[in-house]
Amino acid sequence: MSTRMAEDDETDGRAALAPPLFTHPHDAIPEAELAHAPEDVPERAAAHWRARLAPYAAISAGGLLGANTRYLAGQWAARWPGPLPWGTLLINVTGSLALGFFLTLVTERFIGRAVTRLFVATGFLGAYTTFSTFGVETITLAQHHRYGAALAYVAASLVLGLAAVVAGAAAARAL
Amino acid sequence: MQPYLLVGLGGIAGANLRYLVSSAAASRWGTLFPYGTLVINLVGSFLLGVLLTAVTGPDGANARALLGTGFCGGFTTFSTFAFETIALAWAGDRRGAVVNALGTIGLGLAAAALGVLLGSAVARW
Repeated sequence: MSTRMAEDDETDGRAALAPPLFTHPHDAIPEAELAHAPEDVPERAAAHWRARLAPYAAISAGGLLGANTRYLAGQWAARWPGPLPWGTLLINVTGSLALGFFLTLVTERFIGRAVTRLFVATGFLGAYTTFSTFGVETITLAQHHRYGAALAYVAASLVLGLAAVVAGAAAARAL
Repeated sequence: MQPYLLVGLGGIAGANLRYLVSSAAASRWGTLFPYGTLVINLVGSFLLGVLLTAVTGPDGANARALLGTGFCGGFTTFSTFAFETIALAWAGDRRGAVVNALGTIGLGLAAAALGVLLGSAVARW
């Protein structure tokens, strides 16, 4: 400080600091804490970690529910007669319908929060539907020389799955 | 109670890994084609092929619940594949839609078949 004003001497250099500009009362941080790094402030650190972990919490909750719903539906459908794996087919088609509906809804109709999308789409519907089970079931049918059934299963899954997405999207647009 | 726990844990792992792989694929290879979902579905189909062929019988029920129904089922996704195929078509990339649909099915079945082959070799070993 090259120039010293008389007022500074008077206040022992403890000039009153201007209050920090903040946009919301919750953003105000007591000055004593400004000396610390942001992560050292407990409330800030907690909010910081909550934000970092929220996506994974949403995906995990959806994944847990989606996988178990698929498991339950598979158990229920296991007793159905016929060569086609009806359970997986039903799961994949209903899941595709729901995804077409939901994603169209949150992109064209309402603004969806990121965590909601992660829970419903990435978490639940992603874990509910399955490509691996469909693939191995098709190969198993072929292994048992049921080539007609294998072809029908592939065609049905693809055609109905794509149609379901279109139908779901149309339903969302009709809202 | 136990199957649900194993299926749930596997599902959580699969879903989160799918999210990470999809995000990495999108930043590495862009979003003009769903490479992430393709890779995920191929790898998962291969793994399930190995598992269900190598681990048969009642003793393997827990492993199949955790790694098969749980992880592979949670990791791979049919709905995302179907949605992305339609999205490609609606974005004007009809060729991409056809490539994604037929390519995923073709390569996915090949991956599953390879997994079954490897699984039967493991089972015999």
